[in-house]
Amino acid sequence: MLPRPYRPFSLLAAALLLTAFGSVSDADTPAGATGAAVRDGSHDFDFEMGKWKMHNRRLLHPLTGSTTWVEFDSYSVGTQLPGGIGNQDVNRNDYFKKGFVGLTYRLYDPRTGLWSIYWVDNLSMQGAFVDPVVGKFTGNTGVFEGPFTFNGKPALGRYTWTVSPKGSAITAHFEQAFSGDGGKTWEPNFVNDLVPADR
Amino acid sequence: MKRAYRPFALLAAAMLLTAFGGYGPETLANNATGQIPTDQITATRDGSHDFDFLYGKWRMPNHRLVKRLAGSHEWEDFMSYDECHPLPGGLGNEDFFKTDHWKDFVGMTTRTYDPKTGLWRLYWVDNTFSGGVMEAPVVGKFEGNIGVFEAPDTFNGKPIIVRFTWTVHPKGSKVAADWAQAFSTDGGKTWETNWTNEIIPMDDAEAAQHFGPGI
Repeated sequence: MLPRPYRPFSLLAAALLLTAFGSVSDADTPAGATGAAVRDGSHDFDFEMGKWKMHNRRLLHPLTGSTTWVEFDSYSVGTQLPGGIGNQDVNRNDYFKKGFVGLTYRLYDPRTGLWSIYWVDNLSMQGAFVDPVVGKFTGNTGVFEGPFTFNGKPALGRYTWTVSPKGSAITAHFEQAFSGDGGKTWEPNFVNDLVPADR
Repeated sequence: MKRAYRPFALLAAAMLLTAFGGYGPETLANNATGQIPTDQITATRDGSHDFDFLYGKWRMPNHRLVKRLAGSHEWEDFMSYDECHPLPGGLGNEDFFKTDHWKDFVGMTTRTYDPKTGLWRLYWVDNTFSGGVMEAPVVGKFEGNIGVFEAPDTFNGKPIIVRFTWTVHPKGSKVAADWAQAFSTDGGKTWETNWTNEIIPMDDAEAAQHFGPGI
């Protein structure tokens, strides 16, 4: 959902991820026939469907020890994709550049109950999606992680979504964090709150 | 666009990233400053509108080889329905491909354009075969009315190259464009076409039947 200004994850890490979460089905065998019972998480992002204003706080230089944060507003629209594929979100702001657009696809695998969350934007991505963070919700908290390379070093990225009770002024809270030590410690570098908007 | 098989081999992925430059550490610096280094900008034709022909709603007669790379000549025919629209911010476009050939099948193609290289990346995911994961993209561009998009991949454990070919017909043609998918097992020397379809305009009533009045 938010700009992750870094490289796609390393190929070794990609291999680990594919192993960990199982590859997509082979040839012409539909997925879904072989799955063990998993909770139906296909509606776990329904809270994000609609129009939102977000006040963002962003750490300018992640994993450097810097504590310089900047703040800006953005607008987001979440819509469902057909056929149970998942949903998408269009994020707009004039902070990164005038006319910045970031696009998130959240794709759901009913077989594993896992979401894969992809990001691309019209500033830095050169038309290529960042490799996904992968995870699921437990209760009102969703955690999604993926390996990547940041400033030439292996790192982990994590999105954490926390959904507020219905009727709250803030619908949900988002946090992006990076880990440079394999997940022992995490540094949040991008946080925002979702507030309903009419644009 | 409609590849029902595994993501491509990691080695092949490495080759692809190398071949097309893609993103790298410079992306990080770029994002921090919002600047694109001028030495990375080379003159490329503006291909950002090369898929505009696909905007709209279409009926697609499909012709599909049932068994691929098996010497088979058994083809199956079925109908699909497609709706394509641009993505905001010049990112590219997306389309939804619906058919009853597989039960309640919906596939989505996302085409993202890189203005720096003039290359398109075509990503595919569907609700039947993909397991919630985007396939690695085929990458390429149009020259004249023909667009060719390729990527290394594996099929039944063997390395292959996948190629999509789009052929756009003159405006006013009964068939607006056609699409073909082919695999090569010999590094691109020979190709077996295994799926084709034709892009035929739908009138409003037929489109509403498949996509509702909203889209």
